[in-house]
Amino acid sequence: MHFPQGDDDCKTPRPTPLYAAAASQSTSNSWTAINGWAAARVYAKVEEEYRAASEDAALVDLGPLCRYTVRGFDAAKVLARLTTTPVNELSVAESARGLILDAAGAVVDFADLTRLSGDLYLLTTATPADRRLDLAARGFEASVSNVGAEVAALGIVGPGARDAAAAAGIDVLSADASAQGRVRGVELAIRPINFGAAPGVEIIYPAEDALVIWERLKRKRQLPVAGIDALDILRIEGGAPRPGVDFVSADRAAAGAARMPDEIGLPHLAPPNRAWFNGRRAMKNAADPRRYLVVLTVDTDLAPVGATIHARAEIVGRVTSAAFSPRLRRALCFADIDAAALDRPLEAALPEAPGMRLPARLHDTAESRLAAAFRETTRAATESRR
Amino acid sequence: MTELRRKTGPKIEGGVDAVIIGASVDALAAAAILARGGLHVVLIETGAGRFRERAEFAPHYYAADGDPIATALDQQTIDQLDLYRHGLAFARRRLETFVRFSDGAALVLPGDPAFAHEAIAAMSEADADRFADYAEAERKTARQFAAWFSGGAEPAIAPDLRTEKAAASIEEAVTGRFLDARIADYLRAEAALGAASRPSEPFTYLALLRRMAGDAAGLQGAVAAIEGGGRGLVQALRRAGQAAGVGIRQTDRVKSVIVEFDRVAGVEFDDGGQIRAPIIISALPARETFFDLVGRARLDIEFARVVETPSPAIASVRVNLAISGPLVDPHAAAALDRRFLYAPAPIELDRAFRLAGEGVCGAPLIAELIFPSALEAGLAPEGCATASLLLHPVALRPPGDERWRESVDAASRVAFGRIAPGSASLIEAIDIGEPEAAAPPTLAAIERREILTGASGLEGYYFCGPEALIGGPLSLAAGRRAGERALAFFKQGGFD
Repeated sequence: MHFPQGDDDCKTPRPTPLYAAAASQSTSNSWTAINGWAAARVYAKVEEEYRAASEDAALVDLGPLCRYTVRGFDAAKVLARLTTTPVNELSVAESARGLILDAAGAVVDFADLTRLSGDLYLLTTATPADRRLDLAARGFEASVSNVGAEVAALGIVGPGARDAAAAAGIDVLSADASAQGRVRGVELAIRPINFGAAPGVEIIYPAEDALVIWERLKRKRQLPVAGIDALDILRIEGGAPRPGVDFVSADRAAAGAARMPDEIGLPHLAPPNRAWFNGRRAMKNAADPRRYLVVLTVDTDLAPVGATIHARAEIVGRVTSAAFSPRLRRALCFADIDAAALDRPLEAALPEAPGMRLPARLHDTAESRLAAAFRETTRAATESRR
Repeated sequence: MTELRRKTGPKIEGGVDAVIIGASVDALAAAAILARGGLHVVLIETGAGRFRERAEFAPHYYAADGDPIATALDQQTIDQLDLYRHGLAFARRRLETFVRFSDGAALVLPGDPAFAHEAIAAMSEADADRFADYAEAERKTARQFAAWFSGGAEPAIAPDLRTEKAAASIEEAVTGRFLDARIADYLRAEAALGAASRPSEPFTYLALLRRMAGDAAGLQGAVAAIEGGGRGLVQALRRAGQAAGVGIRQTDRVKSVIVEFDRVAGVEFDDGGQIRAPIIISALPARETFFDLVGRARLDIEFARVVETPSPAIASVRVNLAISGPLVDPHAAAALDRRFLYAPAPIELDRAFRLAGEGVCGAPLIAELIFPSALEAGLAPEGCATASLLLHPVALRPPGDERWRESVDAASRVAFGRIAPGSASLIEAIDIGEPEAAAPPTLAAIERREILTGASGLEGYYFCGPEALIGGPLSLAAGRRAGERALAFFKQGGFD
């Protein structure tokens, strides 16, 4: 799950339950608003935050994401209809990620789902989905609650996230199961997450106890805090597109701007042979993708923000988000390019250096490897049917 | 001991190409079209829409179900199914329209709208040419829209004209156009009859164009009376269907439509019996078609939202009147085989819509009156008459609401008295029907129809229920469109 596009012009962002703790760590005072909540872009230095999150562990305030509980006899039916997650295959404590599609099969949002108990699910989305959830639940025996303001969501991102949680007495049962526990009298739900290339855990607990757990984690391991800019580098390294930045939600997209799961490089999150979900039929019958969202490496130490992508003399795409990757020691960017140009040599033209073009190469990410494997499986299945 | 195999059980019937669910004229039309296309068709008559034999609503006074007249009857379906050969006939092909205004004046428009010049001149000479020019121009525009109204593609006309006509309100289109304001009152009443929106609201004018586009008995904009009313049309369609080999079954309820993967595969009944078929056409209302038979869980969320669009709170109500003697007013009594219309003044109409919106039935209302006894023998005793009165707008209330019934009773007497002054005392009995939800603005109704008939995403499932109709319930166009789409699907081998 990734933060959607921030709104730097928001005049009155609401404080998340962890805001007081997060603000006390901020020396740069660089904030933005995400879904109306205050979110720190940078606490102190992006490089240090990135290093902590990629090499050890860092705390992240995940409060700006949207959270809903769906409860009731038909909860699974509602969520199976709304999201592409394999709801019916989830055992209690398991989590799955997927997408929310519109009726035309275009991507509206991401959806992370955790089955908390028999008929209680926790749904996390990048952008508000209240109306869509209400529509999906109509006529079903299921109640939907927006619990975003009632819970604190604290992320620990990085390879050392589990150790950090364990040091604070928060057990994480296994790599893919969530857990529920009690620390210092506070009821917690803990679930594994991935933030781009970095693994992590998310701890969800009542908002009124927000600072208790934060303080405990800080005290046990002196964990640093990571802001959105550092996480954005991890996100691009992991090949995870950001809603509102790398693609426009189908709910807000102008004509022709909506993107299918395959076009944003996430076909594996919406397999058409999974049980029925909203938009599946349209997606299955859609024409071949015209454009693809891919991750490119560019040999420069500047983030090629706003660059155009060329295949010889022709402009075939544009960069949607970019960052300098300290791990790869070159720039990484998401680019929206013509499907026909994928096999051709690509170059990036940076706005800062008019007339100069730098080689841009397709970069394998965790997501792109999953997508390639999925496409290969689908192709093989189609051929065997023939 | 566990019974491993039942000796007798629900029957599963195969070898059927298409199952049609419903009892409306559209269901019959779709069934006949598919059967004539060479498919093995089974029609399951269930749900509303069945025309009953005429019922005695007061001693010796009889009424038939439904609308006694037609303003749009799909000529293509008539030709395709050869309905004239199968018994379709008209009691009157061109009904005159007798319009009464709030000031008591009367206007008699001829059966062929193209000859209205003289009638208008008799009321307002200065407006005769204006009206003729206006009506001719609008009939021409309406002709361009006709296929769109009946379920075809949007007309390829200038975008400006399309927007102008689609977005206009009745008020802005007709007010001030004629010197005699009563002509505007007449057009306003024609357009607002059966509509959910006030004439001053945008997107309402298209209803008048739809009325002008309708083709009844081969003449655009005319009003025709089918012999036997809706029952006469049903009988002709049944004969056409049976001649083509449609198997007709009658049942109270279809339990569900069987969906396998993304395709329909047949229907299931309460006893577990099934008819397997790759094509299903439903003429039931959209909620029954999609929610009850298929289930929300298999429908796209956006599609389900369209299905459950609530009905407007405004309705029309049909009232049967037993008239115990000849009408007093000589103008109205001159001929009863006409369509009578009461066109309220703008202030009356505005008040009627306001009261209907508040849940009250006011008076006077727009009233369309037909004397079925003048078109069909045996409906009333000698020297008496039955009248079928359509009142609009009234509040959409549950049938058992006694206050509502009392107010409709009063409104019926007022309307009859306005159309035939001095004759209200001749009303011997009043039989109030169920309120029927008013039609949403035509553009919205077309958009909804397009989604319902084309976007369920279930292969082989077609819809021609009431929400697929734009305009009169006897038009047959929705059934033909559904039948043609299903036939094309069958021919393409889409179900293989």
